Amino acid sequence: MSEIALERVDKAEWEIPRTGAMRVPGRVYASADMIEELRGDPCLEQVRNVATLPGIVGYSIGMPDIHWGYGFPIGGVAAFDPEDQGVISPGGVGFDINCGVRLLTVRGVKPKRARQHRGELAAELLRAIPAGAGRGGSLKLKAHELDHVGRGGAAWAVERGFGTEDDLEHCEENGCAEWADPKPVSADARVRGAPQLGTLGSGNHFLEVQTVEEVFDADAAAALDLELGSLTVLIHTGSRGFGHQVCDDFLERMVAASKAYGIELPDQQLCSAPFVSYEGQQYFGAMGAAMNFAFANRQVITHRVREVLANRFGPHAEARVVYDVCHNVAKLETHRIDGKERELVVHRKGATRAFGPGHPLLPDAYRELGQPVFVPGDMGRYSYVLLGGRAAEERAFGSCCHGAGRRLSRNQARKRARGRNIPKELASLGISLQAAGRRTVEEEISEAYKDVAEVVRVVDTAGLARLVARVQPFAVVKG
Amino acid sequence: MWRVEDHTADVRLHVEADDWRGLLEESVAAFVGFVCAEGPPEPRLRAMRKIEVRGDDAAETWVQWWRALLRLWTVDGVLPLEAGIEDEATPEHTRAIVRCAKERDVDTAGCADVKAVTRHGAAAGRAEDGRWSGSIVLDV
Repeated sequence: MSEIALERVDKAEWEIPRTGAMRVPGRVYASADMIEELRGDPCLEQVRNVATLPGIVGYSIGMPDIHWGYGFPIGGVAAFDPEDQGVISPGGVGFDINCGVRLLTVRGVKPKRARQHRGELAAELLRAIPAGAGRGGSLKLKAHELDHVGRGGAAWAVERGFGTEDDLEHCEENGCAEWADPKPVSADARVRGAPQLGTLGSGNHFLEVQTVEEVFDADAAAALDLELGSLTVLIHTGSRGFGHQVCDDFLERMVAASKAYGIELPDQQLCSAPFVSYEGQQYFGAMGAAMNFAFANRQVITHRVREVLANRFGPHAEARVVYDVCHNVAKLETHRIDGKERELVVHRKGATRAFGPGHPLLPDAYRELGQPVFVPGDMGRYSYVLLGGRAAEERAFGSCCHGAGRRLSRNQARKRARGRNIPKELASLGISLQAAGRRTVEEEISEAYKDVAEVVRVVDTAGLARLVARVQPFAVVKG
Repeated sequence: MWRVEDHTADVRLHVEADDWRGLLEESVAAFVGFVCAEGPPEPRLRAMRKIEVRGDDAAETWVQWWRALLRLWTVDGVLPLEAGIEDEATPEHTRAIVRCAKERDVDTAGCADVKAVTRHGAAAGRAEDGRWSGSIVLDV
């Protein structure tokens, strides 16, 4: 693969000029050091490949946590115009549909006391919220009940007592993709999803109890209920086997659809169909159902967290949802392009929506601030809370980064962890780890990830989002 | 023989064998070897499942074969242990009987969570020396 040309257009923004079959240029948000690391990485080729798809508008975008994905890069954003043959692609969303993060603030528990009980707290959370390979939870839904979850999202869970109306107000899309249609969801997806509601899963999914260690913007932090030293809980999970199967099923269908619609693919994982086509609409509906499964999953987990906190610390322990954001989705959104409002299918794969201040889709509490954005790091270091900026809307379809991005492959990480006692290492940092399996712990060691501080610095510099606070874990649950 | 190759966020398995049938048989060893890194389970009872896959070429059939193996585990709840490939198997059409362990006999806590088979760089073909090889990336 020849090295891809990159031209600096701003302090933290680089352009991949339009060449060959590219319909638009590429844009990558990164520091100069990051760009040096990225040179020769296949993810830049993937930014270029995405730019060849029909109906793409503006730029094919890479965020600072970009890395090699399937077809689309992880940390990629692309928008397509349905009125100009614009496509929708399961590979542009990813397998774990609506993998996302939800931040809770905890009141009624003294942080010192919570830290003293971190071992028991992590163990109780793991007992209440099953984690690990294929692990089922206490909710065993019948296949047809998944239709209700697929239509209702987080509201389905709230209606059954797993949370409050206030929780819904603090979720992207109010916790429900209203366009969802469970009818095209396969029987296999239902079998996989039926036992998994309220479970964490494995891989990079986690649940952390944290403290706010640094505040960058005191007013914004106060508005989000994030005082220095206060407690937070960060939940990272998605649509489990349900969403994976929806993606898998539709990748097969879209390979055939791409041929039928004459869409030339530089990579089969970019398979897609026009958004307005039958196949495009079927996928959009099924993906919405998987999004809703994920919203419901994080809602049930939130309820379990509240139960654990109340059992351990008493009925005064309260956990309030700050916000719930999606990482892997495609949505129909209105964006201003060349001075005109256009409805576009925005794909975010390993990227977060980050609407700036004043956006009408934000809840009242955050409308003047901008959308809360959570960028997890790794289990041994820290994560960040940010607020979406206007530049995100002007330059990146209202998007920013979603995490640190892996530095080591899983295999390399396991080699690096060999002979070490990772839980003991974390314990020396004041972090109690509970995990369903040793393998995930080894694969998820801190050094497997880039330093998320460098990633958020880039989006802050570029104006995509602004820093609010840094949170640090002391109790971690992994799959 | 099979081996795990580095891939940034996921896992790529590379499999080699003397012929197409051997490649598929070895891929089952790769699947269970990767899922159960601490050794395959020793089930009390074995379940038998049929797999039939088709493709326009070896690479497509290879992807469909892996999807069928993963489906046994994630949907049927049985872990493939070994496969008997029918004599007439071709890279365009293959039938097999797969011997599997039931989930209750598998220590899932030690298992890798394979969530999907991807088409990302999927390849299968015969080299000049006649040996077959195939690669597949698994979403974990």
